[in-house]
Amino acid sequence: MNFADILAYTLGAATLAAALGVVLRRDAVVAAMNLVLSFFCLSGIYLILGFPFLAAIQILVYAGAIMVLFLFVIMLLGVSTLARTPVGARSGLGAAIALAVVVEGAVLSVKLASGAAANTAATTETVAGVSELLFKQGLVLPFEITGVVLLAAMVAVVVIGRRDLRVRSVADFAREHAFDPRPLVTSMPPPAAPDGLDAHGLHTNGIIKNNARAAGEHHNSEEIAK
Amino acid sequence: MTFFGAPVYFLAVALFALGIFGFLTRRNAIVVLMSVELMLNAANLTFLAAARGTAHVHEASAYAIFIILVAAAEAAVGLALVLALFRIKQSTDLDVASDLKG
Repeated sequence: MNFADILAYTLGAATLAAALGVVLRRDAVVAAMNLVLSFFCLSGIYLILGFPFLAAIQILVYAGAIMVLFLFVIMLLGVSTLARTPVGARSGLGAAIALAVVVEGAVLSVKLASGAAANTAATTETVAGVSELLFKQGLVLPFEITGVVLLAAMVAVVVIGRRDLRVRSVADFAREHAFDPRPLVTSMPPPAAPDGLDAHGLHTNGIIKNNARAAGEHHNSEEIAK
Repeated sequence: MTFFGAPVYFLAVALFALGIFGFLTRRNAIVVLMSVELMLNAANLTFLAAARGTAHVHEASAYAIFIILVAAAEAAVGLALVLALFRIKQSTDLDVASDLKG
Protein backbone atom coordinates (compact mmCIF):
# COMPACT_ATOMS: atom_id res chain seq x y z
CA MET A 1 0.00 0.00 0.00
CA ASN A 2 1.74 3.13 -1.19
CA PHE A 3 1.07 6.81 -0.65
CA ALA A 4 -1.46 7.16 -3.50
CA ASP A 5 -3.53 4.34 -2.06
CA ILE A 6 -3.58 5.85 1.42
CA LEU A 7 -4.56 9.21 -0.03
CA ALA A 8 -7.28 7.63 -2.16
CA TYR A 9 -8.71 5.71 0.82
CA THR A 10 -8.78 8.92 2.86
CA LEU A 11 -10.50 10.84 0.09
CA GLY A 12 -12.97 8.03 -0.45
CA ALA A 13 -13.89 7.97 3.23
CA ALA A 14 -14.31 11.74 3.21
CA THR A 15 -16.49 11.49 0.10
CA LEU A 16 -18.74 8.95 1.77
CA ALA A 17 -18.98 10.96 4.98
CA ALA A 18 -19.90 14.10 3.05
CA ALA A 19 -22.48 12.19 0.99
CA LEU A 20 -24.01 10.90 4.23
CA GLY A 21 -24.21 14.50 5.35
CA VAL A 22 -26.04 15.44 2.15
CA VAL A 23 -28.65 12.77 2.68
CA LEU A 24 -29.12 13.11 6.43
CA ARG A 25 -28.61 16.75 7.41
CA ARG A 26 -31.73 18.83 7.85
CA ASP A 27 -30.30 22.22 6.96
CA ALA A 28 -30.33 22.61 3.16
CA VAL A 29 -27.30 24.92 3.12
CA VAL A 30 -25.28 22.46 5.22
CA ALA A 31 -26.35 19.66 2.87
CA ALA A 32 -25.20 21.71 -0.14
CA MET A 33 -21.85 22.42 1.53
CA ASN A 34 -21.44 18.70 2.24
CA LEU A 35 -22.10 18.06 -1.44
CA VAL A 36 -19.39 20.56 -2.38
CA LEU A 37 -16.96 18.76 -0.06
CA SER A 38 -17.87 15.43 -1.62
CA PHE A 39 -17.26 16.87 -5.11
CA PHE A 40 -13.84 18.16 -4.07
CA CYS A 41 -12.87 14.76 -2.65
CA LEU A 42 -14.09 13.04 -5.81
CA SER A 43 -12.00 15.45 -7.83
CA GLY A 44 -8.96 14.38 -5.82
CA ILE A 45 -9.79 10.75 -6.55
CA TYR A 46 -10.03 11.55 -10.29
CA LEU A 47 -6.60 13.14 -10.03
CA ILE A 48 -5.13 10.02 -8.42
CA LEU A 49 -6.90 7.85 -11.00
CA GLY A 50 -5.03 9.77 -13.71
CA PHE A 51 -7.70 12.14 -15.02
CA PRO A 52 -6.37 15.64 -14.32
CA PHE A 53 -8.57 17.39 -16.89
CA LEU A 54 -11.71 15.83 -15.51
CA ALA A 55 -10.67 16.74 -11.97
CA ALA A 56 -10.48 20.36 -13.08
CA ILE A 57 -13.84 20.11 -14.86
CA GLN A 58 -15.36 18.54 -11.76
CA ILE A 59 -14.34 21.50 -9.62
CA LEU A 60 -15.14 24.16 -12.20
CA VAL A 61 -18.52 22.88 -13.32
CA TYR A 62 -19.83 20.94 -10.34
CA ALA A 63 -18.43 22.75 -7.34
CA GLY A 64 -18.34 26.04 -9.18
CA ALA A 65 -21.40 26.37 -11.35
CA ILE A 66 -23.97 23.79 -10.29
CA MET A 67 -23.55 24.19 -6.55
CA VAL A 68 -23.71 27.96 -6.84
CA LEU A 69 -27.02 27.47 -8.62
CA PHE A 70 -28.25 25.24 -5.81
CA LEU A 71 -27.15 27.65 -3.08
CA PHE A 72 -28.66 30.53 -5.01
CA VAL A 73 -32.06 28.85 -5.12
CA ILE A 74 -31.90 27.79 -1.45
CA MET A 75 -31.08 31.29 -0.29
CA LEU A 76 -33.47 32.95 -2.73
CA LEU A 77 -36.38 30.91 -1.44
CA GLY A 78 -35.26 31.07 2.18
CA VAL A 79 -36.01 27.39 2.76
CA SER A 80 -32.78 26.54 4.51
CA THR A 81 -34.18 24.84 7.60
CA LEU A 82 -36.32 21.95 6.55
CA ALA A 83 -39.04 20.07 8.32
CA ARG A 84 -38.01 16.85 9.97
CA THR A 85 -38.59 13.90 7.68
CA PRO A 86 -40.58 11.32 9.61
CA VAL A 87 -39.10 7.86 9.83
CA GLY A 88 -41.86 5.80 8.34
CA ALA A 89 -42.68 3.28 5.70
CA ARG A 90 -41.02 5.39 3.03
CA SER A 91 -37.68 5.48 4.87
CA GLY A 92 -37.82 1.71 5.21
CA LEU A 93 -38.54 1.28 1.53
CA GLY A 94 -35.72 3.66 0.60
CA ALA A 95 -33.27 1.87 2.86
CA ALA A 96 -34.33 -1.50 1.45
CA ILE A 97 -33.85 -0.41 -2.16
CA ALA A 98 -30.51 1.24 -1.32
CA LEU A 99 -29.36 -1.94 0.42
CA ALA A 100 -30.38 -4.01 -2.61
CA VAL A 101 -28.32 -1.66 -4.80
CA VAL A 102 -25.34 -2.06 -2.46
CA VAL A 103 -25.46 -5.85 -2.58
CA GLU A 104 -25.94 -5.96 -6.34
CA GLY A 105 -23.22 -3.38 -6.89
CA ALA A 106 -20.76 -5.10 -4.59
CA VAL A 107 -21.09 -8.36 -6.51
CA LEU A 108 -20.75 -6.54 -9.82
CA SER A 109 -17.77 -4.50 -8.69
CA VAL A 110 -15.84 -7.55 -7.52
CA LYS A 111 -16.50 -9.08 -10.94
CA LEU A 112 -15.50 -5.89 -12.75
CA ALA A 113 -12.32 -5.51 -10.70
CA SER A 114 -11.20 -9.10 -11.27
CA GLY A 115 -11.78 -8.72 -15.01
CA ALA A 116 -9.77 -5.52 -15.32
CA ALA A 117 -6.94 -6.53 -13.04
CA ALA A 118 -4.66 -7.44 -15.95
CA ASN A 119 -4.57 -3.89 -17.29
CA THR A 120 -2.13 -1.85 -15.29
CA ALA A 121 -0.42 0.14 -18.02
CA ALA A 122 0.13 3.70 -16.87
CA THR A 123 -1.96 5.64 -19.36
CA THR A 124 -3.12 9.04 -18.20
CA GLU A 125 -5.61 11.35 -19.77
CA THR A 126 -4.37 14.39 -21.65
CA VAL A 127 -6.34 17.43 -22.72
CA ALA A 128 -5.05 16.93 -26.26
CA GLY A 129 -6.42 13.41 -26.37
CA VAL A 130 -9.85 14.41 -25.10
CA SER A 131 -10.13 17.35 -27.47
CA GLU A 132 -8.98 15.20 -30.37
CA LEU A 133 -11.86 12.87 -29.60
CA LEU A 134 -14.44 15.62 -29.07
CA PHE A 135 -13.55 17.97 -31.88
CA LYS A 136 -11.92 15.94 -34.64
CA GLN A 137 -12.97 12.34 -34.63
CA GLY A 138 -15.19 9.90 -32.86
CA LEU A 139 -17.53 11.94 -30.71
CA VAL A 140 -18.00 15.10 -32.76
CA LEU A 141 -21.71 14.57 -33.43
CA PRO A 142 -22.59 13.77 -29.78
CA PHE A 143 -20.66 16.84 -28.74
CA GLU A 144 -22.69 18.98 -31.14
CA ILE A 145 -25.87 17.46 -29.76
CA THR A 146 -24.87 18.42 -26.24
CA GLY A 147 -24.91 22.01 -27.45
CA VAL A 148 -28.53 21.52 -28.52
CA VAL A 149 -29.31 19.96 -25.13
CA LEU A 150 -27.85 22.96 -23.32
CA LEU A 151 -29.80 25.36 -25.54
CA ALA A 152 -33.02 23.45 -24.91
CA ALA A 153 -32.38 23.50 -21.17
CA MET A 154 -31.72 27.23 -21.27
CA VAL A 155 -34.94 27.97 -23.18
CA ALA A 156 -36.88 25.69 -20.83
CA VAL A 157 -35.50 27.46 -17.77
CA VAL A 158 -36.42 30.86 -19.19
CA VAL A 159 -39.95 29.72 -19.99
CA ILE A 160 -40.52 27.91 -16.68
CA GLY A 161 -39.04 30.76 -14.68
CA ARG A 162 -41.33 33.40 -16.15
CA ARG A 163 -43.22 35.30 -13.53
CA ASP A 164 -46.54 35.38 -15.39
CA LEU A 165 -46.54 31.61 -15.80
CA ARG A 166 -48.81 31.42 -12.79
CA VAL A 167 -51.04 28.41 -12.48
CA ARG A 168 -54.24 29.69 -10.95
CA SER A 169 -56.39 27.61 -8.75
CA VAL A 170 -60.15 27.59 -9.25
CA ALA A 171 -60.59 29.68 -6.10
CA ASP A 172 -58.22 32.35 -7.43
CA PHE A 173 -60.07 32.45 -10.73
CA ALA A 174 -63.45 32.78 -9.04
CA ARG A 175 -62.15 35.51 -6.76
CA GLU A 176 -60.77 37.50 -9.66
CA HIS A 177 -63.90 37.20 -11.78
CA ALA A 178 -66.47 37.55 -9.04
CA PHE A 179 -69.23 40.11 -9.39
CA ASP A 180 -68.36 43.13 -7.32
CA PRO A 181 -71.54 44.90 -6.17
CA ARG A 182 -69.72 48.11 -5.30
CA PRO A 183 -70.20 50.88 -7.86
CA LEU A 184 -67.24 51.45 -10.14
CA VAL A 185 -67.49 55.24 -9.88
CA THR A 186 -67.80 56.83 -6.46
CA SER A 187 -68.97 60.31 -5.85
CA MET A 188 -65.61 61.40 -4.51
CA PRO A 189 -62.77 60.40 -6.85
CA PRO A 190 -59.66 59.16 -5.03
CA PRO A 191 -56.50 61.25 -5.07
CA ALA A 192 -54.25 60.12 -7.91
CA ALA A 193 -52.42 57.08 -6.65
CA PRO A 194 -48.75 57.13 -7.61
CA ASP A 195 -48.59 53.36 -7.96
CA GLY A 196 -49.77 52.54 -11.44
CA LEU A 197 -49.03 48.82 -11.22
CA ASP A 198 -49.75 46.55 -8.35
CA ALA A 199 -47.11 44.40 -6.69
CA HIS A 200 -47.34 41.54 -9.16
CA GLY A 201 -47.17 43.63 -12.29
CA LEU A 202 -50.64 42.43 -13.11
CA HIS A 203 -53.20 44.94 -14.26
CA THR A 204 -56.29 42.93 -13.38
CA ASN A 205 -58.97 44.62 -11.30
CA GLY A 206 -56.83 47.64 -10.56
CA ILE A 207 -59.89 49.84 -10.88
CA ILE A 208 -61.84 47.78 -8.40
CA LYS A 209 -58.97 47.96 -5.89
CA ASN A 210 -58.70 51.73 -6.22
CA ASN A 211 -62.44 52.09 -5.84
CA ALA A 212 -62.47 49.87 -2.80
CA ARG A 213 -59.76 51.96 -1.21
CA ALA A 214 -61.63 55.17 -2.03
CA ALA A 215 -64.88 53.77 -0.61
CA GLY A 216 -63.09 52.79 2.58
CA GLU A 217 -61.58 56.24 3.00
CA HIS A 218 -64.95 57.84 2.32
CA HIS A 219 -66.60 55.66 4.94
CA ASN A 220 -63.92 56.46 7.51
CA SER A 221 -64.18 60.20 6.99
CA GLU A 222 -67.94 59.97 7.43
CA GLU A 223 -67.50 58.15 10.71
CA ILE A 224 -65.01 60.71 11.93
CA ALA A 225 -67.41 63.49 10.99
CA LYS A 226 -70.14 61.86 13.05
CA MET B 1 -4.96 -3.75 -0.85
CA THR B 2 -4.80 -1.20 -3.59
CA PHE B 3 -7.64 1.26 -3.84
CA PHE B 4 -8.00 0.94 -7.58
CA GLY B 5 -9.37 -2.57 -7.70
CA ALA B 6 -12.68 -3.37 -6.08
CA PRO B 7 -12.65 -0.58 -3.43
CA VAL B 8 -13.13 2.23 -5.92
CA TYR B 9 -16.19 0.43 -7.29
CA PHE B 10 -17.42 -0.08 -3.74
CA LEU B 11 -17.14 3.67 -3.24
CA ALA B 12 -19.16 4.31 -6.39
CA VAL B 13 -21.81 1.80 -5.32
CA ALA B 14 -22.06 3.36 -1.86
CA LEU B 15 -22.41 6.83 -3.37
CA PHE B 16 -25.13 5.61 -5.71
CA ALA B 17 -26.97 3.86 -2.87
CA LEU B 18 -26.82 7.01 -0.75
CA GLY B 19 -28.19 8.97 -3.69
CA ILE B 20 -31.07 6.51 -4.11
CA PHE B 21 -31.78 6.62 -0.37
CA GLY B 22 -31.91 10.41 -0.37
CA PHE B 23 -33.97 10.47 -3.55
CA LEU B 24 -36.59 8.12 -2.12
CA THR B 25 -36.81 9.38 1.45
CA ARG B 26 -36.25 13.13 1.48
CA ARG B 27 -39.25 15.36 0.96
CA ASN B 28 -37.52 18.59 0.00
CA ALA B 29 -37.23 19.06 -3.76
CA ILE B 30 -33.79 20.68 -3.55
CA VAL B 31 -32.30 17.85 -1.50
CA VAL B 32 -33.83 15.35 -3.93
CA LEU B 33 -32.03 17.11 -6.78
CA MET B 34 -28.78 16.96 -4.78
CA SER B 35 -29.27 13.22 -4.37
CA VAL B 36 -29.59 12.91 -8.14
CA GLU B 37 -26.26 14.74 -8.45
CA LEU B 38 -24.72 12.18 -6.08
CA MET B 39 -25.93 9.34 -8.29
CA LEU B 40 -24.56 10.98 -11.43
CA ASN B 41 -21.20 11.39 -9.71
CA ALA B 42 -21.19 7.71 -8.80
CA ALA B 43 -21.77 6.86 -12.47
CA ASN B 44 -18.89 9.14 -13.45
CA LEU B 45 -16.57 7.53 -10.94
CA THR B 46 -17.43 4.07 -12.27
CA PHE B 47 -16.69 5.16 -15.84
CA LEU B 48 -13.32 6.59 -14.92
CA ALA B 49 -12.28 3.76 -12.63
CA ALA B 50 -13.14 1.18 -15.27
CA ALA B 51 -11.16 3.02 -17.94
CA ARG B 52 -8.09 3.61 -15.77
CA GLY B 53 -4.94 2.24 -17.32
CA THR B 54 -6.64 1.02 -20.50
CA ALA B 55 -6.39 2.50 -23.97
CA HIS B 56 -9.80 4.12 -23.54
CA VAL B 57 -9.07 6.85 -21.02
CA HIS B 58 -10.02 9.57 -23.44
CA GLU B 59 -13.33 7.98 -24.35
CA ALA B 60 -14.19 7.60 -20.67
CA SER B 61 -13.21 11.19 -20.07
CA ALA B 62 -15.41 12.41 -22.92
CA TYR B 63 -18.38 10.42 -21.66
CA ALA B 64 -17.83 11.76 -18.16
CA ILE B 65 -17.89 15.26 -19.61
CA PHE B 66 -21.20 14.44 -21.28
CA ILE B 67 -22.58 13.20 -17.96
CA ILE B 68 -21.49 16.39 -16.21
CA LEU B 69 -23.15 18.41 -18.95
CA VAL B 70 -26.43 16.54 -18.65
CA ALA B 71 -26.23 16.98 -14.89
CA ALA B 72 -25.85 20.72 -15.35
CA ALA B 73 -28.85 20.91 -17.67
CA GLU B 74 -30.88 18.74 -15.30
CA ALA B 75 -29.98 20.90 -12.31
CA ALA B 76 -30.95 24.08 -14.14
CA VAL B 77 -34.33 22.76 -15.28
CA GLY B 78 -35.00 21.10 -11.94
CA LEU B 79 -34.26 24.24 -9.96
CA ALA B 80 -36.46 26.28 -12.29
CA LEU B 81 -39.25 23.80 -11.58
CA VAL B 82 -38.58 24.16 -7.84
CA LEU B 83 -38.90 27.93 -8.21
CA ALA B 84 -42.20 27.54 -10.07
CA LEU B 85 -43.44 25.09 -7.43
CA PHE B 86 -42.49 27.50 -4.67
CA ARG B 87 -44.35 30.29 -6.44
CA ILE B 88 -47.54 28.24 -6.53
CA LYS B 89 -47.40 26.41 -3.20
CA GLN B 90 -45.08 28.61 -1.08
CA SER B 91 -43.17 25.45 -0.21
CA THR B 92 -40.51 23.19 -1.70
CA ASP B 93 -42.00 20.14 -0.02
CA LEU B 94 -42.74 17.52 -2.64
CA ASP B 95 -45.68 16.15 -0.64
CA VAL B 96 -47.71 19.31 -1.17
CA ALA B 97 -47.42 18.98 -4.94
CA SER B 98 -50.17 16.40 -5.17
CA ASP B 99 -52.72 18.18 -7.35
CA LEU B 100 -52.61 15.48 -10.03
CA LYS B 101 -53.13 12.66 -7.54
CA GLY B 102 -56.32 10.77 -8.31
